[in-house]
Amino acid sequence: MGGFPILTALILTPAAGALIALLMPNRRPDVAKAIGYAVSAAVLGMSLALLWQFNAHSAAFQFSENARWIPALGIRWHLGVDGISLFMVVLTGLLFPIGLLASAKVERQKAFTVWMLLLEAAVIGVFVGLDLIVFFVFFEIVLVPMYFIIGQWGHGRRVYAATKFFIFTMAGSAFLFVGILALAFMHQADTGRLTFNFVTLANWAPGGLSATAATLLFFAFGIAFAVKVPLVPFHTWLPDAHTEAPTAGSVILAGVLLKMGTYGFLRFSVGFFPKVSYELSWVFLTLATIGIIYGAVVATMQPDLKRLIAYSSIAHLGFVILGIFALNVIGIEGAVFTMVSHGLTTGALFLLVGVLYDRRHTRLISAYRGIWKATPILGGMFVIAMFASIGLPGFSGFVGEFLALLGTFLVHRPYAIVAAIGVILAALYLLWAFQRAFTGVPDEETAKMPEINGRELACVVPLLVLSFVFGVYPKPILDRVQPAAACVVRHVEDTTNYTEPKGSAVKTPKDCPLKVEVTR
Amino acid sequence: MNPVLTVIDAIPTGSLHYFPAVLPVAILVLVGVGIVLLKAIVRDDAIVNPVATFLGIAGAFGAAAALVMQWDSVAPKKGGPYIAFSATVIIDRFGIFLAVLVCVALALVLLMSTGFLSRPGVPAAEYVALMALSAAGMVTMTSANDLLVVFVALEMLSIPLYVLAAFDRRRRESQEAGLKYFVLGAFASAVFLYGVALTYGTTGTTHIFTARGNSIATFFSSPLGHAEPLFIVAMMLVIVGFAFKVAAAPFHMWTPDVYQGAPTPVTAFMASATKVAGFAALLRLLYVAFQSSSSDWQPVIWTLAALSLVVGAVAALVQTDIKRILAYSSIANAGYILIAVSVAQPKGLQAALVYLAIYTVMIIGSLAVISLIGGDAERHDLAHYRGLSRRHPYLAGFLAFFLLAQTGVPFTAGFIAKLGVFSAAVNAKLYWLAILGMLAAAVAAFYYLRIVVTMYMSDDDAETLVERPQSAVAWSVGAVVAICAALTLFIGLFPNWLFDLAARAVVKIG
Repeated sequence: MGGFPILTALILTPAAGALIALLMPNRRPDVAKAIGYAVSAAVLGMSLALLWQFNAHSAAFQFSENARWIPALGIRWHLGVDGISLFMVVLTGLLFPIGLLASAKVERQKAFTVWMLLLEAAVIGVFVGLDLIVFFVFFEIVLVPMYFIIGQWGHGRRVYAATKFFIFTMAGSAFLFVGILALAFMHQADTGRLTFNFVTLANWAPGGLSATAATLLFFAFGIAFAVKVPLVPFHTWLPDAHTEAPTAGSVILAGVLLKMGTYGFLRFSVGFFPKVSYELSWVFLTLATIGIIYGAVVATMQPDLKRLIAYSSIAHLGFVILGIFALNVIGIEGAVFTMVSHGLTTGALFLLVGVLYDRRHTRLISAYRGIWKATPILGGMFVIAMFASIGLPGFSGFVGEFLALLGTFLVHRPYAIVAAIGVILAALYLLWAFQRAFTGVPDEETAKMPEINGRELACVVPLLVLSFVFGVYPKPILDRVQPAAACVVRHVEDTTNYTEPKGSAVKTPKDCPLKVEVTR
Repeated sequence: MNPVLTVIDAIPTGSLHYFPAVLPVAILVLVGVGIVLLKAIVRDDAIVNPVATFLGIAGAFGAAAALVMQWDSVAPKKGGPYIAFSATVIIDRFGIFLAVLVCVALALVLLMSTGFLSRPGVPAAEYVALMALSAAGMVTMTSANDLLVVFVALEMLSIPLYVLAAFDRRRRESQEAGLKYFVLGAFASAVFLYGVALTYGTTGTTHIFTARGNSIATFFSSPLGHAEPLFIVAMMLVIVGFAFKVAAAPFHMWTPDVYQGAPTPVTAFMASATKVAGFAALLRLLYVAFQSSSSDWQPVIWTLAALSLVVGAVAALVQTDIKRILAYSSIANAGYILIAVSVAQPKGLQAALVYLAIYTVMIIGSLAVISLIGGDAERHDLAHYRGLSRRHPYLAGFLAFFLLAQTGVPFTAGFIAKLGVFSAAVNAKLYWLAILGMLAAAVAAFYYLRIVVTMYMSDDDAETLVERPQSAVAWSVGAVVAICAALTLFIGLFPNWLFDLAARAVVKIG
């Protein structure tokens, strides 16, 4: 496509918005706020345009751009989206205006807006970057705005949480960075061409790397993504970061930042090392299953509502990993669907906890009683968000987790059976928390609590509506994910002796970007 | 011939040019001497001081121009590099690149010194003169082709620095810094000189490389001279001498005290220009003179690099003085450059040059901000930075930017510098060193962030209000900050020209 470079525009618009907001006078925070709304709405508009123009039947990278950036090191400004990254971009476009709207009352509005817009640019860059260095650059830069958002606008132990978040992720990406460079230089040693192009390297790596090199590199990539997802045992930064972050920070963190890890696994780990991914899939299936059960059990025990949701994220992301490493079309579709769904439902839950916190300045479950009776609309919203998150049929959570479990069941039954327990546990921890805080006769302070207002509703309702719509009619998403997912599976089949079980066979699209030449 | 040898344009093909070869150094020396004479004739400080600063900056530009003019004429296709003065000096692009860097550092540091020099009782003219003379030594160092010239240059750059470190006579720490730097520096020079003597003893020459005749490089690439134990010892002593100058662990002990005690602009000069000059000589020695013994010196450089990374990252964690923190960070940065050096390939050399250029810009920018924040009282304890973002949002913003750049955050020059170094290391299959470097960067992020936390996330401390420096002075230091910040961002976004330039500085001949 030679026309308008929409992906670059998606990155540059929020970045330019941040710059403009930065130049606004400090005395007029409302101007910066307005810029924030306008720019993030514009990005949402562009991401919807992207969705509209996206060819649902193609598995190729669309809207590709490929321009010179640092020729001295073979680095190019290479962007593109396929069905997998498309919805991550749209989800990003959706969650940022909501996050900004939810933060209308925060202090130092100007600085907050600047960081949020920079964060948005960075996150979009991660999902559309097809040059490994471009991807890595955005993957790293995400830390900075998030660090400031948690550290400056967070609660209680915010500095500790922000620093832990930064250091953990940076240590993880140390391996990723060396892994990326090693992969590119091995390719150069083999073919004489230095490139960080994802497609070129993914076509070369399965045949070109020795088994040892592939395994080591797989772990170098895997550690960085595992920290980001996070997989147990790399998860300890997450509860702190989620809990101490301001509402918008939690929404973005859970909604899109964690998905950078799962996206990395699906795109890069499986793309470059299909054989190792297949052979070592049990490692990730095991860790994911542990995460599902562990997250659920620990969530049950949390006295803090926000911490509870944070641990539930670990469980949900476990399903995503399960679906990815099932390595069949249904599993991957389920994984991508869960990524979107988790962004909607957990986003809504964090927003609602934020609403409660704004009123009472506590997140302890024990501090509340009878919220539903005191504020019926708020309570009602919470019920809906909770059921959506549990994965009640009719909400998006059900579709995603069901597909992920189905995909896993086709190839690795024991894991699917154990993981299914996690779904039940999810009902347990959320319903129990709900019962304690929302039902019964309101205590004195809860009774005086004002009802959810229009602005807050405007943040929550779209998420819940979308969760419902896609829960009932998931086809628009699944149709677009399917070609890309089928290509990933075929890529694995091409390079290993693995064949997808009959039950989920989908016709492979003709225009897969990955066409491995050498097979082992 | 060993392939490494041709990395630096060491094969002189150009014809002799005495005048251009000596011109940059001559300009700086004349500026230095001229200022001292001027001060002796015109005794009015109000006239001499501004003139001296102006002359110093003009001299830096003049020397840089004299160097840049030769960039094309020593190009491989034109004349090629040439040697002069009985093969004791070589003019090639490698040397020009680093010498220009020294001149840029000199100009920026002099500009940021105006705040310090405007304080009552500071002899500004002498300060500028000493700095110009030190820079002359550094420029000599970049083109030295003889171990004795290296030694002379080393002394020429060091002695003014000893004085400069002790220049703030009001503060005891400054005098202590000067003395400490002098004693340890003299010791390091002696170690280096001993290495030179032993080298001469084994090879019978002090020339680094000549096309005809005896030189260290040709001696050891001939079948005759294979590394004898004595030569290994000589090589180690030479390396130790320079490890001291570039502040690499375990020869870093002086760094925190001297960086903390010296006046902030002098610290900036030591962290930037001295490092450049030290690495210029070290690179030329390792890559040209000792190129055929690369398997002998590589493990030594690995060790130095790894130690510097670990010491720099870990020891900084417990510091509470920002200049000490930057001193340890400077040790860690020496470690990154040493990673590139240890690669013993053209790519490593290119990465080292890029890193030096970027580090020069970042550290001068950081210290310029710090000198503004510290004010005349030279307050550099972290407590002074509490809540700075509310009182001085711009200063805090710039400092945060420079610190994030040094952390290696993408879209800043700091990332590009690390990208170059790690590319070179991974390309040479030094994976463990690259991973160690990245992990050290993660640890380093912690102490950089601690400063950011203090500025942005701690409550205001009413009594630590920064005294506002006089506006004219703040303007010139502010200009340095702005230039460095702009460069840091620009290189972060569009680094290609810098890589190209560095590649041309190390390109081999024909």
